[in-house]
Amino acid sequence: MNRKAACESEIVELNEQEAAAAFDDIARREMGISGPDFLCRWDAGEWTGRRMDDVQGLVATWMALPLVR
Amino acid sequence: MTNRPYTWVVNAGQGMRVGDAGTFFATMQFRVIDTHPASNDASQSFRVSTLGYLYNLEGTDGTAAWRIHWHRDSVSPVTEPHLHFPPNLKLHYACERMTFEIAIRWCIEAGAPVRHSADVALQELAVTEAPHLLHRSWTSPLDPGYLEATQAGRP
Repeated sequence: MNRKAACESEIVELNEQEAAAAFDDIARREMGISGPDFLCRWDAGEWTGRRMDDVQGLVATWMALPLVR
Repeated sequence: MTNRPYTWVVNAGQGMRVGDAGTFFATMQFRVIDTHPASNDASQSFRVSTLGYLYNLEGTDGTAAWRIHWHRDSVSPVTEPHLHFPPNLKLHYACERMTFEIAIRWCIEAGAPVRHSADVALQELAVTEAPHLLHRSWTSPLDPGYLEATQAGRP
């Protein structure tokens, strides 16, 4: 038997600044780098051809990319 | 509407604690596509197309319980829906398209708390999932709609 849940949820739409901050948070938490640093390294093709799942945090950070692009 | 990708992230990427089951992480990329109301039985002027998803459950000790991934548009050579299970999380288990509801169902089966009962929760998930199952353009990467859905409107 599952315990009863007692929580509410809401959908928050982020503005440009909030989205950039959220992306930075995700990149730092998942990969230990800043959001701008991730973007530079992504654009430089650092992970091109790699299995994304082999790089810690890369899938989660990439998935959040539309927050800033 | 634009054809740009959007994303939603549960708790801004911090995940959601689901009791003794651990922490559930969920993110989806999607785009909103203009469509003619006469082209669909719901008479809607737009539809949403999924571009990728990540549903991960981590146990209370922080180790992965399972990972449900599809990152079609990424740089990775693995572009079809797949699963990861411990102990070797680098293995990709190919699967059909997975839904957010399936991930939640797996969380419940792992012991995640629910508001009423597991049976009621599973019924609600089935109701929520049904429109997607009815209207989605592909289920398997082998379906004709897969390439069309994943290539149309790509930047």
